[in-house]
Parts: sequence; structure tokens; C-alpha cells
Amino acid sequence: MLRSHPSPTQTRLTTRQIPLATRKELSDFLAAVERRAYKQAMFAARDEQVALDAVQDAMMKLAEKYSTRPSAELPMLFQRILQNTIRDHFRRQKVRALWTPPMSSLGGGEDGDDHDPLETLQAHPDSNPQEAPSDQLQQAQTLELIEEALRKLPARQRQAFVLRYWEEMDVATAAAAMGCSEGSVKTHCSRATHALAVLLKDKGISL
Amino acid sequence: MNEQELAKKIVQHLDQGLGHIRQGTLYKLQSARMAALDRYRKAPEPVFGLAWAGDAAFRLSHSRHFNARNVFALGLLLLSLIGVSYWQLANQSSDFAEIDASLLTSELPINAYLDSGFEAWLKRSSQ
Repeated sequence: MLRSHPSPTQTRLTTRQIPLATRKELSDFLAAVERRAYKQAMFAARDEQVALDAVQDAMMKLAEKYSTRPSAELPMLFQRILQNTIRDHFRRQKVRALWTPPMSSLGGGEDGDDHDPLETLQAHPDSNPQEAPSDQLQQAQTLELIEEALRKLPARQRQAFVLRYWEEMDVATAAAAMGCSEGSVKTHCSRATHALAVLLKDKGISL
Repeated sequence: MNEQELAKKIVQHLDQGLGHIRQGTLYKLQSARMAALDRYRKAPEPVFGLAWAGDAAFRLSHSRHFNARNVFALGLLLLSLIGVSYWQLANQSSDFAEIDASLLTSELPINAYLDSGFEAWLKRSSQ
């Protein structure tokens, strides 16, 4: 798995030379990124429907407004749109919370603490069916704890970590996607990794 | 374990988790992708020519006000304006010719000498 993104400066300089994204390139890009984008939205919103809506909105906006941009710019643009869409969701939720009677919270939410990751777990297409069930269970539990730890991170730290390490963006591109300085990206990344290490250690997980 | 190594191991687990997304969710993501691709807009091809002029001509010719009656009325108005302008110009030039003739024959009307501008011009030209 190798994903590389040029820096924004490099992208700007070569905008005239780089051919614009074709429909096929856009399709391939969206297919490659949609699962990670969904997970990212889930980490932030913790609601499947909201996460799906956010990813769909981001895809729509990218295709509608930025499809004529060079394909090298698509990852940065998509991330920026996705983060803005998630942020907009939280803003709307905040406004809605002001007008929603507090009594509605007594109805009981769907997010119970007794959620079992194995209920929604499906066999990985590439997984070895001969793998011991105990190993599969351990992997599932580790994944659940890692995802829970990521959900607990502050939004900016989680975003920096995901962009730098999961999306494999360089610092400059991640900074452009987050709308902050490269130094801030490095700081957020470092803090995120440290916090994840502490959270996982507390849960007794050693990677 | 340093930061990079830990991040790499976490990402490995996250990548594995991508394969555990429910089929229903994957289908919804695919549908969202297809819907987005339907909105894909190709970059416009460069067109050589007067884009606005062509567009304006198209808009005018397809306007609901574009009919023979309105075109005739507009033509009549334009002809009237041209006629008025021509008549004014012709009248003005005949006035100048009349004044010039009077000046040459020294038969200027008395009002001409009462005009301060004419008097100033006369003094300047006689010096």
C-alpha cells in the first residue's frame, strides 16, 4: 500500500502541467478513499447515518465543484471538504440542541455502553478462514479499543493522525487540508500518538 | 517503540478494520459514489470567438419580445432619431453659413455687436 501526495506548493506550481482529473480518476479516487472517509466520519460523529451523509456530501461537493482540478489535488480537497462537512454537522447539532427540550434525552439513545463489536463484525474477504477464532476475537477487540481510543482524541489531534499516518499525506499537504501550519500538524500528530499509546496501555494492549 | 512505529501498527489495525464494514454500509457508500460521479463536470473546452456577443444574439433572438411588430417599431424609432440628428446638423451648418456671409458682407445684425463673446473675438482677431 503506497499512497503519496504532492505538497500544496508543488501542486500549485505544476497545476498547468498536470492534466485535470478525468471521470475515471475521480471514480478511482473516491473508491479508494470511501471506506477510510466513512471511518473518519464515524470517529468524529459516532453515528452511522451521519457519517454516511457526511461522506456523501463530501463526494458530491468534490465532484460538483472541484472535478476540474488536477487529480493530485483531490486528496487534500476531499479531506478539507469532509472535515468542513463534519464540522457543519456539529454546528447544526449544537443549534438543534438549544431548541430541543432536554426531556428528549430521557428516551434513551442507541449508543449503549454495552455495544458488542462482534455483533457487527464480518469476516474480512482477505482473512484466513483457518485463523484461530481466539486470534480473530483478539484482533477484533484490539481494533475496537484502537477505534475507541481514536474517538476519545481531540478532533484536531485525531485529524492530524489520520491524515499523516492513515492517509499518508506529507506534513505540508496535511497542513493544507487542516488549514493550519505545518508545525501545528507535527504537534497534533505527536500528541495524538502519545495519547493513543497511553490509552492503549491503560487497556492493557501492546501492539 | 517510537512514534512512527506505533502509528504504523495502529494503521495496520485500522486497515484491517476497513474489511469489517457491513455490506449494507458498503453498498450505501458505493451508491453515494455513483451519485457523486453523476455530478462530475468536464472542464469546458476552449472556444474561440466572442462568447458574450454570441450569447447576447442568441438571447435576443430567442426572447419573447423578438417579433416583427417590435422590430418594426424599433426600426422606426432609430430612423426618427437619425432624421432628427441629421436635421439638427443641417440647420446648424446653414446658420454658420449665414453668419459667415453676413460677416463677409459687413451686414451683421446689431445683436451680434451686443454679444460680449463676439466682441472679444473681434478684438482678438483685429490685433
